[in-house]
Amino acid sequence: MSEVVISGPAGAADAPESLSKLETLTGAELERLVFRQLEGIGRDDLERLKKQSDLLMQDLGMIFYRYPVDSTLTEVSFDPFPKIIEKRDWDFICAGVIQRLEIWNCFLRDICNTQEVLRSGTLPCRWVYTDPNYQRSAVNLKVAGDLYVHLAAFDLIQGAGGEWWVAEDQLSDMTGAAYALQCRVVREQVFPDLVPGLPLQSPFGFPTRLCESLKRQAVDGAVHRQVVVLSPGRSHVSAGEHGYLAQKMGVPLVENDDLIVLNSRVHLKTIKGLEPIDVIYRGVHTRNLDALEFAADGDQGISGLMMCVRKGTVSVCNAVGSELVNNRLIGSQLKKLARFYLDQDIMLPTIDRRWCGDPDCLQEALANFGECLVSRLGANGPDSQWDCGAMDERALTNLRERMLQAPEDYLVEYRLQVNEEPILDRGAGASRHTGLRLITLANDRGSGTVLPLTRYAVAPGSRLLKMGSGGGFKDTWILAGSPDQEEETPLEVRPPRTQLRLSSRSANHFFWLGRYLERAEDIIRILRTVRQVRYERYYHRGQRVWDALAETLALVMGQPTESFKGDDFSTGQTVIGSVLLDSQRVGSVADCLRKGWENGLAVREILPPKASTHLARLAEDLRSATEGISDCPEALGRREEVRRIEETLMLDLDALTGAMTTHLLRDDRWHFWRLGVCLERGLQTLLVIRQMAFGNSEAGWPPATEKRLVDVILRMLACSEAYRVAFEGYSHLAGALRVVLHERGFPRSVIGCLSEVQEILEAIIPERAFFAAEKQRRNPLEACRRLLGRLEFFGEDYTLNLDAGLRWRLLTWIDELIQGVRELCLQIVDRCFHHQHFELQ
Amino acid sequence: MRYLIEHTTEYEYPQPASEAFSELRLVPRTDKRQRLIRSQIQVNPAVLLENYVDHFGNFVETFSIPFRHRQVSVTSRCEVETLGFKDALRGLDLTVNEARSLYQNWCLELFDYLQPSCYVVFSPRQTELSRKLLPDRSSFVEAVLQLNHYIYRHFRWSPGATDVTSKADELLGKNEGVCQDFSHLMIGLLRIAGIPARYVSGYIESASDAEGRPALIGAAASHAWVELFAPNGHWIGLDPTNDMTEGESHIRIGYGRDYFDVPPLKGTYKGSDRQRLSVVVRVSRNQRLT
Repeated sequence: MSEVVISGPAGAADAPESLSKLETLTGAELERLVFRQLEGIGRDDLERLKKQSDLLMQDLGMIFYRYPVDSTLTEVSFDPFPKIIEKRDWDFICAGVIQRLEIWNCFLRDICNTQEVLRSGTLPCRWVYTDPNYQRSAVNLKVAGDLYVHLAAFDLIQGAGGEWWVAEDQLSDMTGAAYALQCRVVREQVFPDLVPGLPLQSPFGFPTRLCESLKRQAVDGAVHRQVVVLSPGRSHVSAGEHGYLAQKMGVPLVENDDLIVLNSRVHLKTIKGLEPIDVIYRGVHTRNLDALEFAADGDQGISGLMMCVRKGTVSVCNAVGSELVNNRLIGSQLKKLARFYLDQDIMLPTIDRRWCGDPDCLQEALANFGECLVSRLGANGPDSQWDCGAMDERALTNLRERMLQAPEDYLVEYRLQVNEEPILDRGAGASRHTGLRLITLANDRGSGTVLPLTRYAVAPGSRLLKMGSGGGFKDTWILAGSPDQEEETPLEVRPPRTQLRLSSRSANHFFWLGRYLERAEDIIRILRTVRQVRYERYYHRGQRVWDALAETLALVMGQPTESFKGDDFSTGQTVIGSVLLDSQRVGSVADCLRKGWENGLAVREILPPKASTHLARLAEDLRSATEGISDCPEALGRREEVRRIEETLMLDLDALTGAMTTHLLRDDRWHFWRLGVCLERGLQTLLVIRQMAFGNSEAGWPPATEKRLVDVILRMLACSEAYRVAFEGYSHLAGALRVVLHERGFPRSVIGCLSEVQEILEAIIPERAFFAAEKQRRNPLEACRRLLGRLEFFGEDYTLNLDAGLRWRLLTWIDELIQGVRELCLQIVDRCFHHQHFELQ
Repeated sequence: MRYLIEHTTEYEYPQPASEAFSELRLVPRTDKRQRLIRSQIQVNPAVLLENYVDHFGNFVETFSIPFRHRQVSVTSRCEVETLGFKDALRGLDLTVNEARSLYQNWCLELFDYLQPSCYVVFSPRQTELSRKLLPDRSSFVEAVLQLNHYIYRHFRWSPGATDVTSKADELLGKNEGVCQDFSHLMIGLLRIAGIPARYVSGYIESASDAEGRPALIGAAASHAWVELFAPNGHWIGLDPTNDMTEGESHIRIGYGRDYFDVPPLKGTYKGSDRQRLSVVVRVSRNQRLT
């Protein structure tokens, strides 16, 4: 989250109303007051503040989750003018949505048990049975607390007469809670003093309430009630929402691959092993829950999850198969269902929506096509609703044809007379179509927590409220009345439990975040040295020196040594530019940074906010550099240009490392990030030495060349300073080797890196888990200790004069070390991420 | 009749696979036509087997192999006694049309068995064929037996002509297939005509019996046939692969809408997608006890 400078409204002077007076204000009076306040800010300031708040809203996730090169960023707009709801209205709305949620729960409970509603003929069984979301395997499943829809959202619009209509029930895969909270955060940060002292209901308790109620859903006998948020992956539109909720609830965000079924329990793969899970809050569709049960083709899902649900060892919220209630056709019959199940009148009716399967209705709709809002049955999201009034001729014809082909798939409604609500548009008042989304959390039967989110159509005249692809948002003010009315069920206090360890996937991402960014940094360092030495005359003499440089660079990039064979480093700037910025080139700086960034994104919800800001900045700088180059390819050849980019990226990397060091707790996340950094660093140091000092020379370098070569090595590894501290006089190879291999104080030395790796492994791998000799061999900690032993053993052996024999032995030894570090990486990956340390029983 | 059944399935992977999870539907059920005496399933590598009963009432065993492995073998051994039962088609003297109107009484229960499903698609060709073979006014019993005979006569049983993913329509194009395709086609034709039908997975006795009748087709692997719902409230088994009604040689494992609901073995694993599969099924009469 970026920092925002807050400037209070200029007109604050005429604001102070006494508290008691504030409480008695009506909504309309308050609106006028707010408007006066906003006017007082002044048009230019208002514009600036609005931009800031838009950015803050975007920061929430959706935008962040796309690679910056993708230019199809959607607009998220925040309107400082709040939606004000009076207490009386609010109470009515709350009761209404809770009633609706209860009806839906009754319906699902019935469908999943005896199906009375179908037997009695209240609903035709065809409607339910032919719905692809009707899951036969959900019938007769035990659901904890008999609560099928746990969390849902209802979209309300207000008619011209002040009456409320439900435009849409979003019962499965509800989104918007994150936006609702963020709206308040943004408004408080950017416009803190609109009406000072006004008592408002606070939305911030919502994630806690959600977490508590999820825990209550745990099956009987679950001790820890471990909750996870199951996300469909970060490419999904609501990935931001899931990450936000997981972060605020303090539970792990997991994907399908993180969960595994063993012995009738769902387990999360963590770095410590498999941890049983009690409650899954799912953001994925039922058909992607269990690969065996639902997916006829494709292999999405956790195989065996349904078996655990059947056995009652895990609760899934919302219940399996609850997508059925997305069926708009059934939704249009809610009045009937209210009568059938509760014997009540419905408080918040659905807007009049007619089924095109009825031929009369289809005729009428096609006759008044321009007035219609068309929606598709059983589908949700932006592509399932069309406002015929706002479509062009071609789209209209297209839609008409589709409706004629399969009329039973469509519903129409006619434009309702609605009031538009005031917003601020470019600093002046305007009005837009506005809707209220109520995120409703069912606590027990008949009660619930409701979180409001106000959305408005950004384009004037439009009636479509979007969210998945951007849209307009407002803060929602519920006039709280007296604050003590907010009293709810007290939270249950539980004894503290041992912290769940980091999930393997997250650990893997932290590890690779560290590795890739470190690799990028090392390559930049080498490039910088190459660029510098080119202008120092003596390197022009021998092709061999340039070959050594090229081979080192290739090796560090993870490429075969002859990758740069045809390229001329001594004169050509373009090669350097492409190693820096060509993201198509495997192992280039741009490539490493992109991979590092992707790994960072995948764990965004547990990254410190400062670090993710720096990560975003890094990606942004990389993007602008890449774009600049693709606009003007010859810039690659310009030395100054490339130097500037190098500097920027180095600064960003430093800032990111700083943010991580400052803000990350010294827990598993820190350990795995450091593990990645240290292993990569140790490996790169070894590779540089191997190729520069011993590369293509069986006989060694001539003494004069060697002296300069050593100088280059020291520069590449940024250790001239360290060398000077240890030695005096000119640089010689044996001394340099001692520093970069054995000098513990030098942060890039191999021994320094491996020691830190060992410390970390000691912290994360429980020692006594390994006793059998067979297992010992596969323990990364043991491997690391052996590696350190080898390193220290040779340390005493070489003198200042390296003769040919010693040189050869050193080379073999370094090769073995490189091999050892690579194997260590594999062992860590295998043990901590892939869980292959369990043996045959 | 008592049968001993041994069903071995082996998977081999060129690269080690891990995190495998499989569901087995191999254990015959006990119902009024047969009795399961004992059964045993062996999985190698040795892992814990768990079980549940699915939506259709079939026994399902599951196992999970989280660690790396190069092969999996599943051996199911069981002993089943099939019971003789009287011909349920007897006494059904009504036309297809009349039968259809009687199904209204079971409209909720039968709904699924009248709809297209994963492998059973309603194509124009099938609709045409269904009209021809199951005309409204024909006698119900005759028509369905005719249909059974028609499929037996018109399509050649030829293992390897199709694979497990083939839909019913492919059979119409190729004219050859295996019991699974025959059953899917027949289910499709019945459902189009408004007669509820479901897919039965099971085994069939292989060797020619004492009375010298020829060996029945479909014994080398697991077998499949069709059940249709007769207006007298009974499910009646028809085996189009052998042109016969279900009898004492048929051993039922379970039923569903089509193959997707009752595959003998399905599972997922992580690893290379090339795998070698071999299946051996042996059905023999238990000589010791009769």
